[in-house]
Amino acid sequence: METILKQLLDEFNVEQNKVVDNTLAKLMHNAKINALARDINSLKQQIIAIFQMYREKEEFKEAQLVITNANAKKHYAYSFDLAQFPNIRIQQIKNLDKVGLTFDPETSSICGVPNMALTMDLHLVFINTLEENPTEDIKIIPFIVNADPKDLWLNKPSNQNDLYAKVDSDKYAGAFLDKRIVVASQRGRSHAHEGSFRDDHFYVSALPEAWAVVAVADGAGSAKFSRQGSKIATEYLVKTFDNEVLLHELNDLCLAYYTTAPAEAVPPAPKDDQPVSAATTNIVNEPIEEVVKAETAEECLLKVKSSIINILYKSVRDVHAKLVEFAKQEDILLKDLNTTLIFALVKKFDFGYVVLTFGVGDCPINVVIGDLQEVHLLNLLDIGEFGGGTRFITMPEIFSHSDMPLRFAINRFDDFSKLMLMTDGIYDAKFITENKLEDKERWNTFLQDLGGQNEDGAKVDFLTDEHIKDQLLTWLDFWSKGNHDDRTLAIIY
Amino acid sequence: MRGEPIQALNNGFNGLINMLRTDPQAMDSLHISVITFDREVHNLVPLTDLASFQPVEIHCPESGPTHTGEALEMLLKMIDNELVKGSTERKGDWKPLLFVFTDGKPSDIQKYRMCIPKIKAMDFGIIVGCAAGPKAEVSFLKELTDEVVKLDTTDSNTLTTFFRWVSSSIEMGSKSQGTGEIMTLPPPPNELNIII
Repeated sequence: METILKQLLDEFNVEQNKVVDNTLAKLMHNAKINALARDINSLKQQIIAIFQMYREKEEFKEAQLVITNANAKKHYAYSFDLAQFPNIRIQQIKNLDKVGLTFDPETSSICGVPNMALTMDLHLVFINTLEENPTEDIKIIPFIVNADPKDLWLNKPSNQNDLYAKVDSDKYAGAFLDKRIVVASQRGRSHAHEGSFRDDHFYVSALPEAWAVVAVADGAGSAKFSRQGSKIATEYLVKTFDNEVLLHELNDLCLAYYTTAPAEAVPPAPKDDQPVSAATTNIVNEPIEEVVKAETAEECLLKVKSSIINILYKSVRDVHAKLVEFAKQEDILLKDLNTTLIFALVKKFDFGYVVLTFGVGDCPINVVIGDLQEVHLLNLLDIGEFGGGTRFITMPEIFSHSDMPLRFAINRFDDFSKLMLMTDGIYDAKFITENKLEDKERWNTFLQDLGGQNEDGAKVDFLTDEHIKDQLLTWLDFWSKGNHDDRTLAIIY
Repeated sequence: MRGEPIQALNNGFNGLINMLRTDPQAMDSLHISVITFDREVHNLVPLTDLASFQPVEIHCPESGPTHTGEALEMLLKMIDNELVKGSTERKGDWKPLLFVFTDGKPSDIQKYRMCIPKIKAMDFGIIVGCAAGPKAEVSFLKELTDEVVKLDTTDSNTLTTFFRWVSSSIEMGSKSQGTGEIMTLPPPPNELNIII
């Protein structure tokens, strides 16, 4: 009461003196003055209440409200957290229906399935519930609906008039020794999007002396003409083996390695710590250097092994030399042809299938025995610390590296149900990491996937051959987030 | 940086994000982390996948030091914690790409120079330095990377062009390459001067 009077006197510039003090003292108990002072207080309260109400609205308008991004075709739900603004109520959100979402004012939440990708401003129409006659206000917040990545991919045909043009997909089915082979190769979405070429390549051929070979290569995405690199690598590799004399020699060596030599030269019993499986009597993957220390009997076997590997090595060197020559002749850089290379050279002997393999890069060769009784990875993979990092047949340094002998393997199987060669476009998506390549469970899933257990229902029917190459090519179109590289899969079955 | 240039930078940067959003490969795999550096160094946006990335507004004080060195130091720590390296059990991330954008020069030059060899040892896919505006000094960025571009002006046209080029450079980062090989950047547009 006294404060009000004093503030009033200040406002009217009434100077303080004895008379004024006396007057004030008298008025302190005046009923009328007291009633008026109460009214003033109550009016002030009302004003401040209105101020607060408006302030809350302004604060809400200014507040940084982050609303999570939506994704087209995927269910979206978002609830506004209005704990800081207890009296604010969002009545409706304009523009939301444009994308097919709805807003529920009762729960302050948005939900629905956005039907398209869009970046827009949402207009939040809101009131303060304390207002007697609420007036609507508008807050604008940015809202992003991401596109479904599947809709973003373009499929531009590659320019077939370009240098080293290659068709966007390729397929093959036929006989492979007494088995069948099916291969399909599909340009990756990342290439289709830009209208660039498929960099993968494969080549299959029957050879003299009842041998057969399949080679698969994956040209590097970062190399200008890797599509040609992979083509030369596979085709030329096969050509190096198309040599009767050489294969005859290989026959004798394999015969010696698996029949004569072990009986005479191999120590009588396998070591306890090296279990020898029933179907795979010899998975050779130990470095040559280690074996050299072994006893003389084994040295004989080693010599044979070394001769086999040297035949393969020579072919691989020839492929490298061919690529060097091609680069020179075309006046391009060798690294413009960067490509990985894997191959399997196979023959059926009386004592089983001999499978000779080589690999540089990140493409695996796997053999499946029986009904997944066994599954083996037959080659060394070059997988870097970073995504996409690997080695190529075009790199001269691989030939001088000590791991070169490990790139070759000599195997014998009584029989196998599938021998597969794949590029990383398949391996990255279906096996993800190297250690899963010998995981039976993962292989079981993979084989079921091939058999049609996938979201597209794409099935490869190994029993009826008729459309198998088309089926495999269709299967290669599978969707896998982040994996849009070229895909090539060769299956001997 | 203030007034039109900072506004243009913000528009340019958010435009870059929108550009990348239309690239399916980036939408599937790209993650972005933003560090701002002036007197203080902040991880304005922690590593976020492109689909969840929200528009940002970068603020700049009117004056004061530029702690580029401290920003690199923060970056080194973050890479250590956040980058997944490949092993037989885990798929590795693509090589990270670093873009350093500045309109000045490092004030903490000693720390800056100390961090440079460590940054170089990190095996980035590419490091691009961008000196924007008349006061930006190119020589310090050249110590960090060979790929330095200079923007003479910082109007929105130039910045949009710059970020469009950044976007195409980012897209180059997801291609398979030889271990130890260096990534080639797409040719920059005329507005950008490559410093040799």
